[in-house]
Amino acid sequence: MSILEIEDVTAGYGMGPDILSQVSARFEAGLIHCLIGPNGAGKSTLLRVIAGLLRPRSGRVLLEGKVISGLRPDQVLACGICLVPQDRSLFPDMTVRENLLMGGYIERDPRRVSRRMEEVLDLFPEIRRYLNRRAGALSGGEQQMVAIARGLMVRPRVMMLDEPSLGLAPLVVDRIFEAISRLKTMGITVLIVEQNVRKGLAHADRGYVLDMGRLCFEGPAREVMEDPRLQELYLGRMALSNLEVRK
Amino acid sequence: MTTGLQTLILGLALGGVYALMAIGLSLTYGVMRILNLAHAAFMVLGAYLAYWALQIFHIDPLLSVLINGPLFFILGVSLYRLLFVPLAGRPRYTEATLLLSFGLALGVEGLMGTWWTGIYRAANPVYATRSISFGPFYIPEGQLYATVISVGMLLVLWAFLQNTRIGRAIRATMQNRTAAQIVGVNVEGISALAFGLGMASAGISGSLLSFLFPFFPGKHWQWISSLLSLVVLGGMGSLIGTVVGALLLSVASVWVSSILGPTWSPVTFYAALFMVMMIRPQGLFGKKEA
Repeated sequence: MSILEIEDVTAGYGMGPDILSQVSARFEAGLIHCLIGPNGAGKSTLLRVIAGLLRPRSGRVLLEGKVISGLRPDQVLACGICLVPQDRSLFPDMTVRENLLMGGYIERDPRRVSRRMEEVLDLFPEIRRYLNRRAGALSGGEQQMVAIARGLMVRPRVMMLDEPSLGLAPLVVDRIFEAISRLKTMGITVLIVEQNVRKGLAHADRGYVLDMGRLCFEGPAREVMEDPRLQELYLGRMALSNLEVRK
Repeated sequence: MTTGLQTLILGLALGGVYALMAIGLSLTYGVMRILNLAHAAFMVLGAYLAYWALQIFHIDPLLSVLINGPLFFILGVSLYRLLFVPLAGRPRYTEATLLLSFGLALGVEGLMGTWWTGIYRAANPVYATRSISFGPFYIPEGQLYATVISVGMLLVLWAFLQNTRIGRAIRATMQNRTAAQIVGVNVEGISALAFGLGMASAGISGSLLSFLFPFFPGKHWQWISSLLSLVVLGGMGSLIGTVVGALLLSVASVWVSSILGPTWSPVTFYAALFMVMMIRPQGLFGKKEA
């Protein structure tokens, strides 16, 4: 059953051109979905539209059949969709504990927030060690963990992660993907945008390939990985950019 | 030694008030990158209200703090919703708000000039001219009360920002506006609240200003330049920096005036501003702009 649906979404920034044009996609409850595509394909923009940070120029976003496009970001969050953006967007001068508390901001009852924080810390026990450190002083991998944990504070049904492996060492990337697998066991629907195509698809159930603001094709992750069109899309360009580098 | 300590006492006694005056400016800038040039104009408006409250209703300026605070808070929230929200999302938002607040400053100055003319006023409750001495030292009674109130207000604000859900949301918005939106903070609501709090601090410090310094409608230009200097010294958008900047500069200005005479005291602020700009442009507690 699809939990999240994108219908003919066209979107762009300010007075600029369309970054997404008429993108339609369905995401299934409880699965890990990996969005891939070259730089500028519109992957992050799609996540921003779903999160309510960017209003689509046309088209709709539906959560379980209910239209959520046009809602404010805090209202989308209250529907159970949270975003962990590319830069992790922690509050650098706050402690990790305060960052987690902010994650539970939309919950007004402080007892529930602290109970939720305990649950999250049980899921990510490694965070306990640096609860009182300034978030800005953590390593990239630690920050990513905190960002995911902060997202979990609202008990999301859908969690979107924008390039969670960006700028992290391979060993750390494995830990992050292991954490993402843990999200799936909790029944959370996951959307990942990933530059690391192989790694992303290897951990995903379904793959979605975006190029130039359009959804090229989608399918089970394994099939997408072996699809010749993917090879063409990436290898074609990679070969081209390598040539440019050599020049 | 004795004169040094006396200078320190006088400086700190004013520093607390300066800190309260500037904290609102810093808060408004920190949360929404609005540099409210009308801040001091509203302070002077607050001073007039306190002055007339004393003249007509015999309400002590220390008590009119309780009126000015809520009054200016409501005024701030309304002004923000009415004038600043329509500008939101414009490409040159910061520049537009700078001009808007400049216009507001002129407007408020004009209104005050029309209603109350340009003559110098100063509220004179009994304690305004008295001072308390202890040993070889003294402290003007009015300054003592004003500083106690200012420090009290700053502590309340600090506790609010540190320990409450909404206060934390204000700090979060100051640190990363997008991230605040992502965790579900209604940043427009928080901005209106922060603007209201900033204006409340202007109103409250206006009450205190009414008996500490003589004022007239155009006086706010001098105040806003001094306040901007100390906010820049502390680091734009840093609340701690603003308090430290206020204390440092007020002690420095009292010290300069004790050596060179009171006419030189305002110059201290600008000299400090130039020095900061040359040596550490991001201020004492500021971060380098990315």
